[in-house]
Amino acid sequence: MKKTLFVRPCHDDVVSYLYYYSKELLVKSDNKGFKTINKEKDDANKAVVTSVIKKNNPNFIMFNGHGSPTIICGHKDEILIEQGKNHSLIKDRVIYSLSCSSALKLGNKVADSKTTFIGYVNEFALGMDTDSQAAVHKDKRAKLFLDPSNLLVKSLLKGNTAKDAVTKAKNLMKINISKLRTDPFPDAKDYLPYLYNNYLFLEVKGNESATLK
Amino acid sequence: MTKEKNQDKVIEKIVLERIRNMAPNVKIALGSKGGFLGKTDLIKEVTKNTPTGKKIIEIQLRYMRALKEGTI
Repeated sequence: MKKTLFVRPCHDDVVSYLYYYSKELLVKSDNKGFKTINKEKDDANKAVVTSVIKKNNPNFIMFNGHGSPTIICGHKDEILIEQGKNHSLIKDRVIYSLSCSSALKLGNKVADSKTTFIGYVNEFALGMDTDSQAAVHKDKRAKLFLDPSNLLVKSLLKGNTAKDAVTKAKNLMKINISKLRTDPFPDAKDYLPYLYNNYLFLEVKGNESATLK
Repeated sequence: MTKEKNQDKVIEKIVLERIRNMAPNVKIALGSKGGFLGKTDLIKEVTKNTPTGKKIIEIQLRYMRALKEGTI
């Protein structure tokens, strides 16, 4: 049975949004027949995540959290994966890192014919509507940023190639950009540069033909 | 002031004007900081020329260029 691992910290406002939105992906993964492992909140730490990867050897890992060109962080921004230290832990799998810039160096470092690294080569931006802050699920602006990310994972879980999954996510970003451009509400235009940024910098490194089938 | 520095100042002015015209309910998260930034925070980052402020300028500039070139 193929395995998936979702790493979902929830310690600040931004990762709380990622935490909430990635919840549906656990159900999708389970329904698609994957053994789905969820490490959330304070379990999204280095000791637990390292142990789970070594013990279960997941085919796919989604990291939600903060990052930089050389690192991916977890609970309370603890460094989970760092280039030059433990990057080999994420080799020979399909990785999606929903974090800032981690595809730039770390992604390039691990990418090869057996490893697929999907992520952002620059900042990942997230917009939110303060009128919805009390209820993440009602935030229609954040949804425009995070739905493409979820579509990417759903597409992988369906068995599409990494390249196709990224293309589908980018196409949805384009649709959402068009929606914002024609949205009559005054705040719509303010999100556009940031969503366009995500569109530009989402990339797949390594084996683009990899699937989870 | 060199021509390049003068150009940077003009760009910063344009970006700041765009941020000042933002709707009050908009917040943006960027980079490895854990919080969302509202209009006042974004202005502060840009005027203080912080790493986040520089990224905001780059993002706004890229978008304006894309609009001008019709790539979006």
